Amino acid sequence: MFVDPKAIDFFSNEAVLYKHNGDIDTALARQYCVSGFPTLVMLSPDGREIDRVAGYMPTDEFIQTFRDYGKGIGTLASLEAKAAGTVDRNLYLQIAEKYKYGCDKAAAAAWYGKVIAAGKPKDSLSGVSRMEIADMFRRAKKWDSALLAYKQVAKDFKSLQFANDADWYTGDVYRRMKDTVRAIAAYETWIKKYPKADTSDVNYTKGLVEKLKNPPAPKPEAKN
Amino acid sequence: MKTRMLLTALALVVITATAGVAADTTAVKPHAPVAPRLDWAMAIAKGMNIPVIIDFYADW
Repeated sequence: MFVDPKAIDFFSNEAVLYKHNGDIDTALARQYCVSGFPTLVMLSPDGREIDRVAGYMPTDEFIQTFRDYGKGIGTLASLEAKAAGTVDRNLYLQIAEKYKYGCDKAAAAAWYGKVIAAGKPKDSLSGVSRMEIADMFRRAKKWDSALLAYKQVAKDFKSLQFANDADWYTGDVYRRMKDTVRAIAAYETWIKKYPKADTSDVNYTKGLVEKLKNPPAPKPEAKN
Repeated sequence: MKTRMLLTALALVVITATAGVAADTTAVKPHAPVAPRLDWAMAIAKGMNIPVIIDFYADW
């Protein structure tokens, strides 16, 4: 994207670009709570964070988004101001998504909670929000909370994609907990329960089970 | 004064990169100007009253 003439023009006149390899030099990425790459963080001339974009975006959309941010359009602050005194679950969800990619995860959970509270616990926006909350527990390594949240989603959204995802991530949590027996059981249950799941997902899961059942032999200790 | 020096330095980086590309058209495509350090980027942004955008990337 940065080789696109429009991006070159944008970064020659309207913003200063600084590129940072967050995988090698992690301190700055941690400071800005960057949880995935690419993440683009916009700072005001005095260093305040204006907003950010997580993930890839086409050049035109990218430039328009940051031009809007510069004018205070679509920023977290502007969305929160818009949400004050209104009940708009889609807006709440947008705000929660923005918090999710920033430092204040508790605020993200609170806004997802508002989405659920303002609707029905089993409607689609609640499903999205409940999965996001479960994912936040998983990423924070709060295993018991994550497992409980996934279990409830799987129960409440039977036959929907949310349940499929929740059941799969249950196996993922056990695997990360290094509870191999439960991880294998959860993955095998998922394979049986969702025979029409995407073939690549099924093959990937079968591969995980195979690795869990036959872990690679530990490397021999290096001699002095 | 410091800001002007930093702007000049950044411009030189861009000109050098562009000249390199002009000399060999098979080389890397022109790229948006990139400040080599965050504190320089901030100083330039302050001087020009424009924002800084940090692109956090990974090689993989």
